[in-house]
Amino acid sequence: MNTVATTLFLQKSQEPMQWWNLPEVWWIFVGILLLLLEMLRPRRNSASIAKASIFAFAVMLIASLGWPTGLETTFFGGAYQWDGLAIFFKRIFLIAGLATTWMMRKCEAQGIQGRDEFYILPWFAVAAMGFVSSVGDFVTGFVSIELLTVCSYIMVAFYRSDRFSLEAGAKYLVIGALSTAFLVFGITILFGTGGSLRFDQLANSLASGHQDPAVTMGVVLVLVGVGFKLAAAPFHWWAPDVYHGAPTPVSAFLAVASKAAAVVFLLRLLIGPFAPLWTQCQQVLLALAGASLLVGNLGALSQRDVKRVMGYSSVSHAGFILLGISAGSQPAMLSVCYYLLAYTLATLLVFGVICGMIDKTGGSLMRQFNGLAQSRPGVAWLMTIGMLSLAGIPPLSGFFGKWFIFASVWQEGMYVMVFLAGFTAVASLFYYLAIVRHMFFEKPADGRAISSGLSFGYQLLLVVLAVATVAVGLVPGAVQRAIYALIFNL
Amino acid sequence: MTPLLMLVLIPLLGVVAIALRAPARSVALAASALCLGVVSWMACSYNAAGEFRWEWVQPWFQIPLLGSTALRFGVDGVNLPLLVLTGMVSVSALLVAPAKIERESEYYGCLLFVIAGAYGAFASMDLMCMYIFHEFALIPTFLLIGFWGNGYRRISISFQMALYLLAGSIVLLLGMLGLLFSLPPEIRTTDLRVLQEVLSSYPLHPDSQGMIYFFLLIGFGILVGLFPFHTWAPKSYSAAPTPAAMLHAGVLKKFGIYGLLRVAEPFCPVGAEEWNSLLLMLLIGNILFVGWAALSQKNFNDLLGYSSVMHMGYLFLGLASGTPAALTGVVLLSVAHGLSVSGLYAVQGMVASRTGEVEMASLGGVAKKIPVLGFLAVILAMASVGLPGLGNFAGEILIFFGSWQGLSAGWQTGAMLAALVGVVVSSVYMLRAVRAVFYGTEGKARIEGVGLSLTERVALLIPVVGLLVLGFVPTLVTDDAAASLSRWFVW
Repeated sequence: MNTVATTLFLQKSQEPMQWWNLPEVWWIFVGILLLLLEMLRPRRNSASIAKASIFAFAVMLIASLGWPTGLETTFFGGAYQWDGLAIFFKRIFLIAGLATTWMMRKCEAQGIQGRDEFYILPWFAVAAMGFVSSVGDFVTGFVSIELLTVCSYIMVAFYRSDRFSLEAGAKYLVIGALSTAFLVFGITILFGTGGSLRFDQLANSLASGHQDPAVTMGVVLVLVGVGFKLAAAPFHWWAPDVYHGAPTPVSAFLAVASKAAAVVFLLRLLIGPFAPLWTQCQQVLLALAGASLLVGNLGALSQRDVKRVMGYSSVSHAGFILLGISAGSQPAMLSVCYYLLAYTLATLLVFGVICGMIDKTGGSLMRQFNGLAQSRPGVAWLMTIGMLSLAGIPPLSGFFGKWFIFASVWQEGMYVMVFLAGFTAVASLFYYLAIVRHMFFEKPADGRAISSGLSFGYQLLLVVLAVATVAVGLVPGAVQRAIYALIFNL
Repeated sequence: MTPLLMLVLIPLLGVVAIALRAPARSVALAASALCLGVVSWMACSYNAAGEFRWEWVQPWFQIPLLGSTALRFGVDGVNLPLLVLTGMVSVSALLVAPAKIERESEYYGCLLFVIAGAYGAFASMDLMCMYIFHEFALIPTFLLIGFWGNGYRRISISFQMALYLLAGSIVLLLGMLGLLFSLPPEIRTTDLRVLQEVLSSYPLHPDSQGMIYFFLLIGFGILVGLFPFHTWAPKSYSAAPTPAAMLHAGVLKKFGIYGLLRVAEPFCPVGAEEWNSLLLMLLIGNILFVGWAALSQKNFNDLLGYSSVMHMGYLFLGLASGTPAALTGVVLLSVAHGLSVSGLYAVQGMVASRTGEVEMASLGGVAKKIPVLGFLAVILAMASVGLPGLGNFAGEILIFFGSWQGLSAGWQTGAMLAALVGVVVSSVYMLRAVRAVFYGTEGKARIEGVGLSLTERVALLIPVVGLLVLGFVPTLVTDDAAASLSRWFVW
């Protein structure tokens, strides 16, 4: 495996990295290559593009094992940082990209026009997120987030004949523009007061001048912009609608990859320019976390559509992640990374099942899952594993994610937040079990909604995600140690 | 490889075998019988005078913040009787389980999962593992009630049960967090043996003890059905299929009591004293309020549910008084109550399957048609009432004596009086139920089918024989339990 990696990136050696070796450069290259392939190939047949895209994601994921760890360097004058945190998130993005394109292939049968770009856009989105995870100044950050968002606009509205998809696209566009406005306004103010866009320089100047109310305003505006991307309450309104209307693989992509990108951008800001303003940031983050936990978990209770439930669920998980971040310690950072890994695997699993089972664009009512345990018991159990991990039932990975976040928040003495998180977690069991109920307790209505069959490859994807969800929970200590070694360069 | 690990692995391997299309009922029965064999062998060859035996440790994970957690098993005079109880009830429950049922493999898979969780929870000597094994049973029970349960409200009841139990678990988790964080970081661990050693020489700060004890009391209390958090229990049991009700009411509910006995009481003695009057007040609610509710039940199934919650009051009384005799009584009564209540649920299932009726008004004369069933049912009912010669009596009398020993004015006296009144109350409703169901003239409901089959007889004989043995030779349990408790507690 490592030989493949070393032929791709000759980096295991101690030689300094070169900019053309950076993974994002390769990813964009792959995207352009796929576009060329699409243009040059003789017959219109998107299967080849899809296969090439999936294959390339798999190769890049394997190649990521060969990335140099324990090495901190910067490129492009400090605009790009290479370190363990970036590596962790880049791997998450690759996993999400791989699973998403795989799901897109499953959607292929549903008559999408101009479907080839569907497999190519994730490459540009993933590259954009890769840049976000390495961001070292506000310009890079802003441009990468915009590249990600523009790719997402197209993907969300990809079912051009479906009005739900178009509605979702329009909503996402408006909300995306709004959040960009907040973000760029905040960046402008910070630039005006701090005199630089580079994170390290900004940190120095903000450390001296952080009493300035303009700085606080800039920081809050940037956090609001990130809150939109993260789907944290009260900036979450788009999430259920967009997840509902978008093609299922794209919903999965937004729920997992886009959220992880927002998380890493937030982490970069907090360890970089916002570090001197930690106490103010912590208040904002705690407020966002509390609101997200309440709104996400209570909002999901009355939903009848699985994808809307997942939308609200993603809001509540954003709350958990923000809660962990607001604890602000080194163990808390590890807990957040562990939580994000568990969330990624379980959410991809759940969306994978939804995508595989519902042969229809747009919504996926819970009713359509009626009797799934009878018609396809295996798939129903996989879905149950995903749901229970998200709900935090031991010994699945979601439980340990919550447990570690509780512990790191308790360590900081924020007991009220632990109680709030605990009790909203109980409420969350209600809506996760509601889906289990439809699968196990109800009789199938007419069997029309349930898809005919899944290919071997797709089943393999689901099983691998489920096994990973269980396995990350069975060895929580080892996973945390690995993350620790990666992030803190040991 | 310790036999304790086998107790968890055998049912789980059974689940795997069932998933691979092996005949479900036979596999489940074989697995539970094998486990019963293992625990019986352990009970016979224990001989350690209260020491731990068959210990087995496998480090699991270590987190800087939370210390180390190990897969640790071990057994002493306190949890060995509970393991034997698990073995007896699980075999009895699987014998009662119907041979033909919709989606058989999932049904038996769920039951085996519950059994594995119960064994694991009682055999673990690590707080985290105890918690996780207990949670094993949550989702299977949800599925068992929701799909195979009785009554049109079964789905909402299954949700109520799952949410209630998870809420209890979360409170428990907060108590565990409090416990871990009141230890210095370098000795943080969830290993109960280590915690016991450390805390017996360096007790926790009294303030944190109070907080931890409160959370553990409410958390474990919800799992047991402590008043006023008991409302899930009677409903769930009457909606659950018979084997699930037997396992849950008979075995899993004892986990909360076991947790209080193993963790909360010995680790937070000062906290226990602080919250003693609260516990006494709540247990009076358990005995009188729930007993009162049991008096007015018209449905045999509901009556058993309320009765089982009511008797938890006696276990709480033993815990609240905290004297050696009372705590020994708690161990004995836990086992005896588990046997009697699971036997009664089995009886109820047999009556219901023959008559299709659970309303006591339309039942009657069952003993005339099926004398064996009537005879065994009366023994079980008398055990539950506390007739001398049966296990429950021995447990209750120990608890009464123990509480008398530590008697102080105030709520304790009130609780003692309530418990004595409760004995009368429980005889009233139980005798009334026995008369309505088994004696008198045959009611509206026709009794179909004939006498008990061999499996049904065995299923009922297991608890009956167990209760008789415990009634005549309670020292089988109490000797080792008392010895172990004196090692575990600092008196």
